[in-house]
Amino acid sequence: MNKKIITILLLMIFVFSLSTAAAELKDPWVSKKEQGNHGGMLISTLLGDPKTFNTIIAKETSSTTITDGYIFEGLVTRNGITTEYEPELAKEWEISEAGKKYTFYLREGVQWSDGEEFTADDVIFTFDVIKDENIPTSSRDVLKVDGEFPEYNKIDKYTVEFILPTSFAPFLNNMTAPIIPRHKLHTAWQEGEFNNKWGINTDPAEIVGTGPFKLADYKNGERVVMEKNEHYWRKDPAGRSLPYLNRWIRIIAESQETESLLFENGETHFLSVRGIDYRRMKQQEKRNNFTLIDAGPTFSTNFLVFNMNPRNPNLKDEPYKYEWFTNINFRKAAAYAMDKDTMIDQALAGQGSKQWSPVSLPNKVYLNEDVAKYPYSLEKAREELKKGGFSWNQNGELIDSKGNKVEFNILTNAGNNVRESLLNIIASELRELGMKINSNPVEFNTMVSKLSSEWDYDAILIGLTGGVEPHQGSNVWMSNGHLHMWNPVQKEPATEWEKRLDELFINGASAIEIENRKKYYNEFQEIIAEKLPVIYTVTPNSIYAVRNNLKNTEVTAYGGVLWNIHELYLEN
Amino acid sequence: MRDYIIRRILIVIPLLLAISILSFFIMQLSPGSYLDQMRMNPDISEDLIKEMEADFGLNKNIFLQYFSWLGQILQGNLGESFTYRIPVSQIIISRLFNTLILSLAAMLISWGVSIPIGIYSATHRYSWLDNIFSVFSFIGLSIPNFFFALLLLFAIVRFNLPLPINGMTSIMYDYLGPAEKVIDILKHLLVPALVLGTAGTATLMRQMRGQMLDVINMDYIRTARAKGLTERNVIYKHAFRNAINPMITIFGFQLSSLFSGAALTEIVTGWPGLGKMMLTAVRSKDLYLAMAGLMMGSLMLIIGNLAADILLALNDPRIKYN
Repeated sequence: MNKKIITILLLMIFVFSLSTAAAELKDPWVSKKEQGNHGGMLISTLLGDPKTFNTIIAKETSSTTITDGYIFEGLVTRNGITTEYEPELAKEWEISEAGKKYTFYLREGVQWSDGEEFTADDVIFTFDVIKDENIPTSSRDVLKVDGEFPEYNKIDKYTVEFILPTSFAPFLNNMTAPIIPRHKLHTAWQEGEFNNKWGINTDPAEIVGTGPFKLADYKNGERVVMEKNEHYWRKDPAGRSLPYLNRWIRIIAESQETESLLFENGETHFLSVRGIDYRRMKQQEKRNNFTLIDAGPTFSTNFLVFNMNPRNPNLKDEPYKYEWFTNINFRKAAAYAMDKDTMIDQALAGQGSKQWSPVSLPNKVYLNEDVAKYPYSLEKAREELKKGGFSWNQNGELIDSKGNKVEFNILTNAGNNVRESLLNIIASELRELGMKINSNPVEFNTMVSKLSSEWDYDAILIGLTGGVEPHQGSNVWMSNGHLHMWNPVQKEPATEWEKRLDELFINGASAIEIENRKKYYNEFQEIIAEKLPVIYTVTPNSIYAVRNNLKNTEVTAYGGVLWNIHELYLEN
Repeated sequence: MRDYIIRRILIVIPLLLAISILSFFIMQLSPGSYLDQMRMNPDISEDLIKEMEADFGLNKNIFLQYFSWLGQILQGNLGESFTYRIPVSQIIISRLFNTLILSLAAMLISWGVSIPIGIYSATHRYSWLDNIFSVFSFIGLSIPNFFFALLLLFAIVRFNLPLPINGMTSIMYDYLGPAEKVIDILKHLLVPALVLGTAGTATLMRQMRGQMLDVINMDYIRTARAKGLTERNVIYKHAFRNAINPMITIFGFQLSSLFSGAALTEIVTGWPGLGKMMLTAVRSKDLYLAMAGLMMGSLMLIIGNLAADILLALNDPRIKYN
């Protein structure tokens, strides 16, 4: 009798040890940075509450800055310094059949934060969900190639392949999409409950990812608490599981003023410094044991766009405005009137850079520095206006060839201080040229509906956030795009150069080699700088203040302080 | 009296209905919708926006939208938030208590300070203390809340005061004992409650002072004094009870702010209340969340007014409702 019990017990122990041993990590990644101390609590701030922890349907950065890269990971990622592709959950990948077939070999033995093994089934499940028309996710359309969702198959437990209808280089960028656990979400998806899963009221233990951290607690409006994922697949040089940090608390600060105060009070470990705070922080640097790091220009942009849409309903009353805005000399004059030095000094407190090309400044791979530039010169602006058939009356007011006085409105979204002061600077320079400018900050929603559906504006000062992959801008630059702001959703490209832009984007996406792609995107940047459908202004620099006891940091504009959070540690 | 209260409660129904119609249509008629923020995102396609529009019912006729919302409300369902995709009631409840603490503390400060000071100022008119109070109340009236909050926070950082800057609880809150938890919240409460409290104090103080001055010069006060009553009795039994009536009405209005929160102060001090969330909901047109907030505010305003009217009748026997 006793023997029986013992054998059963032994058997149980054996089975139990088998099941834990099943997921042994075969392909760990080992940190090349110096060995750090394990333990410690990192404290940082967030500017807003997350709206959901369901990263697939999340649309706001306030949600994805919590989940993506920290709780969930993709098959591939981008290096925080070089912005080049790097393996993440896939240890390597192959591109074959002239760029149509991608095969990903997954890291074997990676575990979800609850100990379940990560396999090809999770990858297939994630793309099943993304493909499902009932799931409101932006990933679906981004993944479509020629309107078709790629075919994806499980080859074995650790291999998946994707087959595209045509060669499409931006595809790899989409493979940075976070992978979600099948064992947690499959039933909910089957029952049609996926969209309501993992909202902000979810028990944190339910939310399971492969990333370096897992959610431990969320207090609405107060803070998000993350805890180390004990099963993480990245290792320190000594072979222990990363991250070094045990806990990571992210205080929800709601305003940038409070963020700075918290940092100055010594309560947080790093801060994204605004231009206007730069000088004050510089004075405290030594005394308060932190270092200010200028990581260079950010991906955000600010530009002026003129309405060149022949469908503008206001044109019935004032058809001449269409003539002005489509006149290339007029737009060049406006470009010459951009006093970017003053903009950087006044709107960005000296911490900014001039932008000339539509590709964001920190995009080291695709930025073409050799595009047409329009250094500030009211003289040149006046020459351009003369060339364009404009002249001045006795009062110094600018009139067009038919004698109409040049007067128009420039809108921007109210509440954005930087943009409001940029607008003031632009308006005062254009007034110098004899134009009558009504500058007008409006509610964001109003501006968007004017821009995207009513088309009844004159000019708008706005910004879009760029990325590393130029094809992400195809909605903006291709003539049928709904964000082709100056003349959206065209059936046929209105001009020769817009037609060329369409071709360049199609070719740029289907070329595989970066060198070939660069050629197309270089020409695209030259065209935009030459034809000026949008006129770029200035970009703020990203400056971080980092406490000296936070080690292994390598701060960049692309990755910020946290891109290598698994390697960061706190010195005792 | 009872009939009056019943009548007042019955009036609430058409009143709320009218308020809901107004707020719903004004919000819908102002330009733009919840999906505009997404329209400006290059990653989100026109198709997806159309799908979501259908999903949220935003493509339906506006009257149909209103009536389906009303139908839901009558069944006790406040709808689902567009932003959070969870029921509106859950979002509101998660913050309701926080807002209540802050509003109560602020009310306590403003009434507790302003009534005595108002009486003192009136009875010692043009004394040097009265002048100082007046100066302070004018400063209080003219300084914006958010700015005052920032000043206080800046002082905390500058002078290294042992007070928190942000939020309602400290990071170690979960590991504290019950008494320490209360102290922790009180510490966090100090700045926002002080800011909101003093903002109310200035107006209330001036009101109280003015009312008292009016009453003090009345004939019956002179009579009371002539009768030989103590000054204390004259002021508190005769003058104060007559002067307080308008204050009760103000109190009724203030009750409505109990749940509506104070967005700017909340933002600056990081207090996790309803104000900031409702402001965002209205601005981003998260329709049902915003509607719930507006309706809650209106309901509290009506209840507050009713409460004030009842209190008035209790305080002043001359007031009778028939």
